[in-house]
Amino acid sequence: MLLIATLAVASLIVFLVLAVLPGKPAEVILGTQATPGAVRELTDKLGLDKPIWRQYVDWVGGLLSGRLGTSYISGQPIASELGSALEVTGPLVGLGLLVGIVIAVPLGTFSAVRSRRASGVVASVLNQIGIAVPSFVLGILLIIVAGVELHLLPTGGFTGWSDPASALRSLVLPGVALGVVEGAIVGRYVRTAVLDVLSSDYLRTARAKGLTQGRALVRHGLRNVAVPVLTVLGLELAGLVVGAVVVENVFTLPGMGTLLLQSVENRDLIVVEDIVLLVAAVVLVVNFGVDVLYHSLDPRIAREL
Amino acid sequence: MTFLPVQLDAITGTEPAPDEEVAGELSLWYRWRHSPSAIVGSLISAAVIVIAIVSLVWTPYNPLAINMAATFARPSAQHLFGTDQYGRDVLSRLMSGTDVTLYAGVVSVLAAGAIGIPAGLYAAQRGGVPGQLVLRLADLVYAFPALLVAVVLATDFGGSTLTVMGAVALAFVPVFARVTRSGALGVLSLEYVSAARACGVSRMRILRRHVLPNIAPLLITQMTVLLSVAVLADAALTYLGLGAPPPAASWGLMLEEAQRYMGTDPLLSVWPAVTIALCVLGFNLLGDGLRDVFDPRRHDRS
Repeated sequence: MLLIATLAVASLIVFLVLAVLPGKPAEVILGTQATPGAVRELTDKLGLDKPIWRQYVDWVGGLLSGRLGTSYISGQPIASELGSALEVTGPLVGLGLLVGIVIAVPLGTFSAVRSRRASGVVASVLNQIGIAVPSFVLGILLIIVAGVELHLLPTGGFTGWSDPASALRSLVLPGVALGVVEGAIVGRYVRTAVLDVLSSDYLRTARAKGLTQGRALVRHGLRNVAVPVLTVLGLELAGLVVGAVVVENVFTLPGMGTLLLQSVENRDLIVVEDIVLLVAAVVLVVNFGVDVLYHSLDPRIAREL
Repeated sequence: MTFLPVQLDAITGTEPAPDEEVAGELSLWYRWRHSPSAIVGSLISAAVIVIAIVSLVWTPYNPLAINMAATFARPSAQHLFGTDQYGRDVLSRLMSGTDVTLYAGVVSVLAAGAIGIPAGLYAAQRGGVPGQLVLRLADLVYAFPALLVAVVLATDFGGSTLTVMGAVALAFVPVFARVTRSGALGVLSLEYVSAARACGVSRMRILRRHVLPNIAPLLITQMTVLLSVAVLADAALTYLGLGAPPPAASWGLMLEEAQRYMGTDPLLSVWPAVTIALCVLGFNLLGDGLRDVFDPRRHDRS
């Protein structure tokens, strides 16, 4: 209920902020040479002559019934444009998440278990550096090394899923660029969580009854590590979606981020409204989901509240 | 900063005894020297700040001066980091970019704090429906990452440094509100605060004299960490063209331009990339180090 109310307020804010736009969309689309008549005609056609509350109701009503509206510029239904963009962004975010987890869990565990040895400190330092390199910067460095110098992988563009192998190949570098940073951030939380578990009484008991450190960690520690890590992972999903917007630009992938920035440039208001609200909704829903998951993973938290 | 369960000054409202304060300062210095993050972080951050200040009065060349006779120059004694596609000195541009980045970062963090900290204090102090309302509002704002706000602002007003600062500041407000609230709740539940309240000390005075000084270390740490996030966001937003338009010398813009000439001169991309990473690393380490210094118990764990 709260989630729906928040979403409704979010949609209202997005709409209002973009509705006060200084330049009238019709004037921007038609350019400076446009006659007043042509501007009025286009304004009518786009439905921008209606009162603001009416435009809002139309927009939200359309969203609820699955009609996202029509792009001012291309005249295409936004649903199909956004759909094909999500075919790129969705797998990219998924790949980033996968790379992130594959890096975070071993790196964090290793630097926690070895925290008092040189190898653990090296892992921590690497982790810090990983956090400091933004995904788009890493993307550019990857293009230079793997693309321009070694000619290993494509450095930009997307051929579509009709050829899955080539589509995946063009997503490898962006996925890695996106995933490494998230992996480094989450890795720090894994490290803290594992350190907490390592110093806990129940782990000492498990060791005392004869389990090796590794088995004790897997059998008794994992569940406790999972709670904070899942929370961070959920929050980071929002970071991945936003990061994808920038990384798509680095690798010229025709995803949601590219569509969003193009629409900003073209003043294609309705597309901007749809995408901004979509991303905000994803963040809100994910945070809500994380909350629910958090409580079901650790019943103690539910009792504390 | 030491935390006694009962503090006489809480009731009388006087300053803590001077010798106690000195002991606290000494141990802060001691902990700073024993935290590698704090040392390395302070050094890098100090270097960044010095470079930013120096660039205000001096750079080796005019960062905007075009010299078509010397484009894509390799690093040399004249141009330490070489020149770009217009023959502009890369070092000078990086230096003046430091100034812009730092300015935008500091302003957005302070602006966010100016709204977020009072909001968090209010939510902690007030509780009930108004307090919940502030929290829900913070959640709502939190659903709009800086990038989205910047996109919306750029649609309305075009890209500029102000767009970037506004977007980053707005994104930080809920972070400040949350951190301040949880910190303040901890202090407000202490017995000496109840004692102060029982003595008839006003709410404002309790917040000013007891809550704020106690959560100041927490807030300073948070500000440092957010400064590193601001540098990162600033680079990303200017890279996407949502910041100041060319020929401004911002790190993100330099990276965007260099990417086009990646085949000709890959070094041109490497300089701003390394600069951004170093700067983020510096503030991040400083934040971690401050956490070690202010909160040694946490340091033991992580």
